[in-house]
Amino acid sequence: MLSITHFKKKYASKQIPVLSVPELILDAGIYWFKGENGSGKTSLFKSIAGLIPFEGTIAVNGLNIIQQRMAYTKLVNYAEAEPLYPAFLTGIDLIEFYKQTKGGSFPAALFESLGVEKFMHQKTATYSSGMLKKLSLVLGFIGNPQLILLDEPLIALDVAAVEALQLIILQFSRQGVSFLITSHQPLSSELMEVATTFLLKEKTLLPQIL
Amino acid sequence: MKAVSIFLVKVLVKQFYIINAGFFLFLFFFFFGVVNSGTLITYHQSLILGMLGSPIFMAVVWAAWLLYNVKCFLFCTGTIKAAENSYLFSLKAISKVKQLLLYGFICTLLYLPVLLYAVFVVDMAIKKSMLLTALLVSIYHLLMIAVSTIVVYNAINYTNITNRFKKILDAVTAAYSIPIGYKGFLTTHIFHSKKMAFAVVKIFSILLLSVSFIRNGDSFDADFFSIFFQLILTAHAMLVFYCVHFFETQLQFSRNLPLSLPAIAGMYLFTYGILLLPELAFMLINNHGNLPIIHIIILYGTAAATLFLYTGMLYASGLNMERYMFLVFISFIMIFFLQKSGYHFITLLAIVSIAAAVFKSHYYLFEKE
Repeated sequence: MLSITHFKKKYASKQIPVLSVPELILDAGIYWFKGENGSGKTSLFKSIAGLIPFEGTIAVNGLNIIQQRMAYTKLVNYAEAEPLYPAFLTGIDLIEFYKQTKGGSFPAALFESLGVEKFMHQKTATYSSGMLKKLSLVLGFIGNPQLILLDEPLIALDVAAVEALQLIILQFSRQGVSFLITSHQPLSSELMEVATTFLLKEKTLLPQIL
Repeated sequence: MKAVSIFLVKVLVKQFYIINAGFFLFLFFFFFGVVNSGTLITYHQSLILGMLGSPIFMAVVWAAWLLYNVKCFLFCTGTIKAAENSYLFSLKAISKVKQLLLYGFICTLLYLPVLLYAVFVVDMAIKKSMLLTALLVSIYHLLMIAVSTIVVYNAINYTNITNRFKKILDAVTAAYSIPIGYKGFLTTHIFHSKKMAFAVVKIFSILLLSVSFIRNGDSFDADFFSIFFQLILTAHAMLVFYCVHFFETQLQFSRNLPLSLPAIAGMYLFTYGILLLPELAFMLINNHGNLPIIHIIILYGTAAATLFLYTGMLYASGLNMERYMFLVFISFIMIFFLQKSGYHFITLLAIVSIAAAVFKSHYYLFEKE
């Protein structure tokens, strides 16, 4: 499913190394990425999502992020840890934008269980951090993704929303969608069948033996 | 108090001058760079005399000073309201008099470029025995500083006033809102958050075009117009910066969407096409046979292509204002000579090709520093 080779990420301005992953090949499943603040989790996720440049090769289902970018970005979705959207847009503007570009299906169950409908016609400038998080999660599931990257998906969510999200992740996972998740909060072992947990330490990625 | 004032200078004054470095560089070039160094003093003396002798000219200058002051206090209120600067509200704990003195000092520093020029205006007025004018100009500037001081004071101390005003504004805009397609995101951002910058650039543009097409309409000078055209484009460099900065911060998520590079380039070109419509309309309406219509259309295309070239330069410079302004300056010279050759369509094609190449080679390598 995901293949990473000779991956290196440095801070653009100072050329300070952030993370190095010589090789990582993952089959379909749910993967939990742990690490201290600043260990490079978000940089890795942003690189896989195509938000920032990096050295090396990243491919999903054989599609290379650089050579087949359009097809690749249809397969890979990303929900940020701290989403930021233009203040003048409403939730529905963004949902329509994503539906238009990503195509595919709409995660109606997640949309309903997170209660996004209640505030989707308001401008994002009026959203609380929890509302922004819920919107970003719905956007992260739009289309026909094969890999969804969820950066700290549980922060700012209420208890009911956390449970609803974990159920949706399980449901999507059973349909063959893979997840890479970073979370400082524990993931429910009853609801999530985590294949492997990785630890980002000393600027590299290590499988964590539990 | 000293520590607080040093802190506010860092947060408000230093940031204001850093963010507006391009704007000041451009103004400096316009006022001191375009005139021969030997005639610089005479030029400014005659400019000030013209101002003192004509009430209309004086009114235009006062309007420009007012716009600059609005720009200063909007920057302050914007900074105060930004979520990351919420700690500034702790200034409420300081007494009212001390706060007013503090904000007065900050507003004076922001208003300093205008104030320095005004000193020469007042000096000239006194020398010409126009004491009433000198007094009026002095009072006007004191009022400007007083107004911005009160605005900053209110922004810190009475947040509800701002919220109430914002609620009314939101209700009005919501009533007239239309769905925004992604091609309109950048234009909406400029009209939503950068209204003042847009207005300043357009007033400046129309003033320069008025000189070429109306004031000198009977003796239209192509070389003179060419310089003005370049100055107008340079002024737009600031709007391009706002567009790219916005795209790479609040629309960064769109890099995860299946949008092709031509689609993103098209979005930028569409935005610049819209932003440059006032200039196109002005030239077409006030042309009176000075330039062939096709030439005006090519100029409009050249302007949009130049702004797209600035976009590529911003990506190449990593959104670094210093490097960006240097590249804009280089392109100013390059395009000026290309236009001077008289091959306008070839100039347009050359700019489009260079802009596309720069954009293509830097867009995916870009990462905000």
